[in-house]
Amino acid sequence: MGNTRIKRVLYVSGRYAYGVMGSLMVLLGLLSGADFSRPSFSRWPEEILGIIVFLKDYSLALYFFIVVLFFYSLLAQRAGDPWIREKIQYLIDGVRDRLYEDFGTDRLDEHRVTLFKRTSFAWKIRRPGSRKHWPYGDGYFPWSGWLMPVLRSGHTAQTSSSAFLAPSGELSHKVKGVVGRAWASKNTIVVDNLSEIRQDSALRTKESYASKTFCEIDWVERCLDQNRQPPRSIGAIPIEVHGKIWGALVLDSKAPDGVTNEKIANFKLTAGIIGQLLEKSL
Amino acid sequence: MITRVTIQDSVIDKPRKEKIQGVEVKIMLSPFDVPQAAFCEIDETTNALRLKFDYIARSEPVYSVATDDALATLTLGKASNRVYEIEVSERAYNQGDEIQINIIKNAERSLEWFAENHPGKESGSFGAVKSVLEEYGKQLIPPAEKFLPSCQVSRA
Repeated sequence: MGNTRIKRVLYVSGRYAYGVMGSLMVLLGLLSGADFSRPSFSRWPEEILGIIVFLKDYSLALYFFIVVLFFYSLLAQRAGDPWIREKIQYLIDGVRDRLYEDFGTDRLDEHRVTLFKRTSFAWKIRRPGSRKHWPYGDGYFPWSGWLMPVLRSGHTAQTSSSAFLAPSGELSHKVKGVVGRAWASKNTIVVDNLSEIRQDSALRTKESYASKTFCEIDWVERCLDQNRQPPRSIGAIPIEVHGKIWGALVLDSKAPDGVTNEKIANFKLTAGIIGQLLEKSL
Repeated sequence: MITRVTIQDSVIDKPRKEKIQGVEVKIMLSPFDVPQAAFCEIDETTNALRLKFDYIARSEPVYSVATDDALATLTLGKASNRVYEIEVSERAYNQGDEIQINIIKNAERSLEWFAENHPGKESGSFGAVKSVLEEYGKQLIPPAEKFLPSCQVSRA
């Protein structure tokens, strides 16, 4: 989910790049229109005139530099303001601490809160039944539409490869996961009291779990391979930005009653605040 | 004249059980679709009554749609189709004694009219606004004597 310090440096430098771009544009515009044969310029210091001549000689290269700078700023600011990201992280951690306060001694990654963003394109996807990204097929393409994790509570579970298929339009019925269902229906969805799944659980139990969580059995197997117990209660709250569905806030717990309707109802306002913060970030 | 009521989520958004692809899940509305407060405002020149709904976030442009009979106008979010305002004309509600009930019925009818005439555009807020009208309607809309001069005369 990325290094915050690098993102902050990129964002701030991207903002300054706009200033540099603007100044260079104005300077080059002035130089291109100026007539240096006029006698008033002869009184200017040699050093200044030297710089002006240099800028005029290399104006084409400088215009190219401005274009490069423009794309750099665009990319650097694409991820949004890191300050807002930090505030959302703080909110997510707060939700986690209050929601799972009864499970204080458990590991942080056993009861989590994750913010998923829906993207129309994603490279890091895996085909069901495979550990590889390639070959694509059966509706699993980087451009199929995906729900990708962007922020997660706690410091021990920040890396995640879980991506859920979320196609739009006619294929929207193919969405995967509880998060996908919440995104597609624009409703808050809770699935609780799920069975405990272990490596030695029967295939039928694993299949039943996958079906109840709208996932492929491959996802369940992958969790187990990574020594993670699939969650026994999951809730997803849709997040909107500027009136459009942006993603979802997912709460999952290893406890069968870790996420319930009653508990999730207390965090709806937080989901609204996250949506408002994201509006300022985009 | 403006009246305001604060809406409790638990009254409007009751969890319900539904089956999706044979799997039973518990469903609640999106927090963005549940009004946090409702206002009732009377236009003193036309006597039209405006019911306004406040949500967690409102940052989208809106558009207005009048019903075919022009008795009510809906103001909806362009991106979300969320109900932000329902305006009920005096012509629609000022019939008989039960003015409060007329207003609620006309507001609900305008929502149903939109859902019928614009299939697929009905947002989750439609159900929430209907619940607000049912649960808080009489609290939100003041008695007719308070805003209709003709009622004050006839009741006197």
